[in-house]
Amino acid sequence: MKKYALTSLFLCVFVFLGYSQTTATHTVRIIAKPILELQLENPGVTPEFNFNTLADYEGGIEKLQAASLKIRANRNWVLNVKSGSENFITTDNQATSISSSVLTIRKSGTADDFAISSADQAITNGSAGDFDKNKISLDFKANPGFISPDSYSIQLTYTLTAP
Amino acid sequence: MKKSILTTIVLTILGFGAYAQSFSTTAQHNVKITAGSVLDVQMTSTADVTFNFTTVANYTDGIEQTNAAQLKVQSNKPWSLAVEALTANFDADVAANDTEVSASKLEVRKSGGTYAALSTTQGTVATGARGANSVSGNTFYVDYQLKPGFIAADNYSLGVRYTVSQP
Repeated sequence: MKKYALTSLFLCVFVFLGYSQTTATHTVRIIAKPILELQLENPGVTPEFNFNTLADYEGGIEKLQAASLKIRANRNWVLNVKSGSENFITTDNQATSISSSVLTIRKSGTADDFAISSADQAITNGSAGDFDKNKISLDFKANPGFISPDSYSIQLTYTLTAP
Repeated sequence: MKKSILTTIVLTILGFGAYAQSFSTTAQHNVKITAGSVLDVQMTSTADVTFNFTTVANYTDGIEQTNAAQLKVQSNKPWSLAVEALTANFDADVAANDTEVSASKLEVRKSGGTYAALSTTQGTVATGARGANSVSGNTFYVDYQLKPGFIAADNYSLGVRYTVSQP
């Protein structure tokens, strides 16, 4: 009887120990792919400069917060801007050629003006975050001098890169 | 097991390589300039231009005043400047003075140009190119020459108007 009791106790302990050492593990993986998104807040709006007075032509026209961009990215980013052509395009084919450089741009609240060219220029940069963190307003100034009466337009392309 | 570890390392490197590449996205819009017509002429000084006839030579030969007035034109098209007298004759101060001094006794030219007699009909005195008054030819002087002959002693005055236009 004593022998049976010892044997039973041993088996119970063995079984208990067997349960207490059983484990199962797995790994949870997050695959975070790079994302980068750039949007104009008002894509259908064309910033427009109306030159009507001598003062307009003498000093140019400045438009504060003429455009706003929102960015979301999971990496640090750089915002570039360039024009689609070296000169403004006239609607009436006037002889006046207006260089893209008469248009200057800067991030609102800063003092660094960039004369627009057909080559990309980095105008600002930032860090990872959602749209609410990465909103940018841009100030424009057009100072073309005494250009001939006409309508002129130029396309701007903003390129967001994650170096 | 060894093969499995190697595969994992290769995949990790490939994944890292893709992650390390720079990438970009773009947004576009147009910027428009609408340029209306502007045209302006200013006199540097609107003070009276005075001819003092005090000698016989003055009356015989007349008096010339070079650089009598400076004009500044600004335009975003080629321009033309005309000059005219506001009345056919000078006005005498003394009402009883019946001497008629015709506006044509006063001749005007852009400095360096040729004199033309003034009248109440506009005559072109200068032309120029599009630009601010800093553009060459858009700031200039006019010369006056007055040969009234032996007019009665009095003070005479004449209004002279300059008009710039875009032909």
